[in-house]
Amino acid sequence: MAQHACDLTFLSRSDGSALYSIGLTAALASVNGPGDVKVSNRLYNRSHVEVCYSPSTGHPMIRERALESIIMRTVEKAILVHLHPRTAINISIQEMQSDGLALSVSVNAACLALLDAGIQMKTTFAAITCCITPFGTILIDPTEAEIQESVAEATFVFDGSGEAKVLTALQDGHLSYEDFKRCLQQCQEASKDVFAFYRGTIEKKYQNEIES
Amino acid sequence: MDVISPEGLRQDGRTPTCLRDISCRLGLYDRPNGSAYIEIGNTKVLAAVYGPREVRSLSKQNLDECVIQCEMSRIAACQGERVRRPRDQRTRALSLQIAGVFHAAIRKTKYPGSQIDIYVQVLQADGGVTSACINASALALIHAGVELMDYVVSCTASINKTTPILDVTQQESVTGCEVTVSMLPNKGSVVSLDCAHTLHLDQLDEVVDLAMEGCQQIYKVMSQEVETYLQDKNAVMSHQ
Amino acid sequence: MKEVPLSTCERTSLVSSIHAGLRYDHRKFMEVRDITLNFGKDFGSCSATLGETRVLAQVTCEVVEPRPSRPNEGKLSIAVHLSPMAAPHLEPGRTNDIVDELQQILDRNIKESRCLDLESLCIQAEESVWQLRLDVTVLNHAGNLGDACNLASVAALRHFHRPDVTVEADGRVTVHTLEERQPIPTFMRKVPVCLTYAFFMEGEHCITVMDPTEQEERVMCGRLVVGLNPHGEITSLLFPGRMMMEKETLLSCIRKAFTKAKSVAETVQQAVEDDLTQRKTVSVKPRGYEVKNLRSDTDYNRWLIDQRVDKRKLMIEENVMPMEEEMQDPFEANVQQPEDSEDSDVNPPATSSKTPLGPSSHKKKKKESVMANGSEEEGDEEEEEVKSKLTAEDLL
Repeated sequence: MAQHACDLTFLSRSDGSALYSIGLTAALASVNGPGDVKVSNRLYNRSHVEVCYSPSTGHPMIRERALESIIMRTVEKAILVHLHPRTAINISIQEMQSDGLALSVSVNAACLALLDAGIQMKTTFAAITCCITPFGTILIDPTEAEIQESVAEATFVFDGSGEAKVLTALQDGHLSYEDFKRCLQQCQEASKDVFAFYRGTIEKKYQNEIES
Repeated sequence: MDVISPEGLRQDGRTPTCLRDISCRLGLYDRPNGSAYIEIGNTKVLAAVYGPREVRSLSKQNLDECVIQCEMSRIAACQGERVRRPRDQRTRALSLQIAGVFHAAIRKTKYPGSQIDIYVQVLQADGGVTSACINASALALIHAGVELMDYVVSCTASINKTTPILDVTQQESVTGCEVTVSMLPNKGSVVSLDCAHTLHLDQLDEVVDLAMEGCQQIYKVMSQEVETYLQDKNAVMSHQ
Repeated sequence: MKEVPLSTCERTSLVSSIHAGLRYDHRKFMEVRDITLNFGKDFGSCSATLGETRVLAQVTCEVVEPRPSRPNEGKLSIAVHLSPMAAPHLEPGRTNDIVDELQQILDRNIKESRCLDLESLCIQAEESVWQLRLDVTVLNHAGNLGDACNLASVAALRHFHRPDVTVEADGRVTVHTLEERQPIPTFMRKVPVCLTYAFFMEGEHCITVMDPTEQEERVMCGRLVVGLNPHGEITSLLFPGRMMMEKETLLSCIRKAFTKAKSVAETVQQAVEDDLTQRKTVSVKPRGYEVKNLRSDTDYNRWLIDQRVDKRKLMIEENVMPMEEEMQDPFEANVQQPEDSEDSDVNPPATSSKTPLGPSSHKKKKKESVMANGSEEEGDEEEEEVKSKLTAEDLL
């Protein structure tokens, strides 16, 4: 597994923000909310969640819209949206540097930014990407070069409960059922480390505040 | 092709400190509260003012003073090449600038909670477009009867090697810079300063001075036109 | 989301402290905030911070056909993006006044000033040239976006290296990858720097402040954006009105900007060169934007506070208190003012009533200074001066 690193409260104007990096891929997520919402988007019983993903070059196109929709569906399941009716929660994600893990870095950054902003969530969530080489080895958190060589790539988002249930699953390429199960198991194992990392980051944040 | 020929004349036969011919008219249309048309050489600009009237979006309303908005557009045939979109990023930036100029010049506290809209259309562009837009808008505001601190006059100037030149055309500004200065002629203060293309720091002084002189000349023409218009409408007081 | 409105008492407090010679972040009027530049792992990616304002610039290239009017020059296109990350009230994708202005400033300073040598981007005249695309994204809006965007863009352009190209005899063009051949840097003749001044009117007197923060931008009367390069050339000037100014004040601001521009240009050049030499010497690939390389805003604020506390400790140790003297000078200059301007309208153009809000605004100022400084003495002095100024006006 590659090196995970995170910095919370990165931006001064957002309610919560996180700079997250896995290996050489880095993304910056910022959360604003719950705040006021346009009349057209107002929902009587829950909050309206909006995700905005900006690539590092060019205008947002179809690929960015696809990522936005995946992230939004994942996040909606985790946030307690019914606690804040008639409001909006805005999540903005900026791709800083890409080395193949754009989706998992963005999802993890979004989770930590939500925690930093203090938005109530049912569960935390973590994304793990893995790929299968032509020899059958499973690599967790591969680099861009490794993904190019691989036969298939899969991303799973797990929830923070003990059993690591799957919230979202994405897969690209040829995968037999056996290989898929192996990937899922290995990613589940790896997700425990990621949740431990989240816990460590949040503890560090509040430890500083208790000391001062 | 030299901008200034060896005899000291420019492409169109003017001396470096000579303005182009200016003609302007107030009150072209009935519907807008104020309208004006100005021609500075080959640059032709039309301006219309609606206001003071009710604000369209309450979020922008300011209860201390009025809101000023400007929209500038160009017709497709205004330049040599067909202009693809009448309103694009460039015209939006210029509209913001024009609105900024009138923020300083209009007595905003006289119209709290209202909105003044200025619509400018460029019919032909041949250098000095921003200043023509500002001059036309000022005349349109005067025609609309909006209270101004003073006339707003604008002029462009440039520098060619070491000679400052006044009121540049499109051709002349391609090689050099184009400095647009807007000022209140009776008060002598500057309300807008804009420079496109590179200009050396030492030359800035003389270029700005020349542009301000040009503004005073344009002011004479504009105020003459306003007085003629008022006399025609018998709006001038008898004691004068 | 709607923009958080600035309350009248915040507005009054900001404006009156500027009139008294103080800025909320304890900078001098002509002091620019700290500049840091970080580079990504790829060439042409730069993140610049100006205090808390943070901007990301990325340069990419592709081969295209040249413009028919300029067949042997490359192309450069600049795009500015503003998302709700920068400030909650901004909407993604919608055209915005701020974006239009930033686009105009960058186009003028970088494209129209021809600081970048576009002829070196030509591969085959009239057939293929490189098009450089510069994308600037604002990550955090804490005032003075023009300067920050300009910094990031210039650094990214200087940092950028394009792939090497060979043209065969029969006209085929081969583009080499970065591993095959060393990429070629861009050539920037003159480094354009952008500086912003904010103006505050106090009756007839005009106060000039450099590098305004976001709150100062909301209460300022007018603004001047000067783009220049250390060779003494002005690349762009933008004084978008909103107030009347004397010509002399404007020209003197522009002249003063020149010395500042030199130091900023040097900082940029130094940072780019440092990063490039590091890439050449270190055999491991560069890490780029890593958590330990980029500094968050909370860390920056903590560092600022530590700096100020250290400075005060040092002065207490030396038994010298230049802080008081420093602060007295602007106060002396301004203490005469309340008497003169009692009759004229001292209120800034935006507010209408001040007197009932006097005590609450000065309490807020005290709280701010205590929290920001960690020491009581300076707070008391400010409190005294602000109090005296307010009581003079309370008499009106």
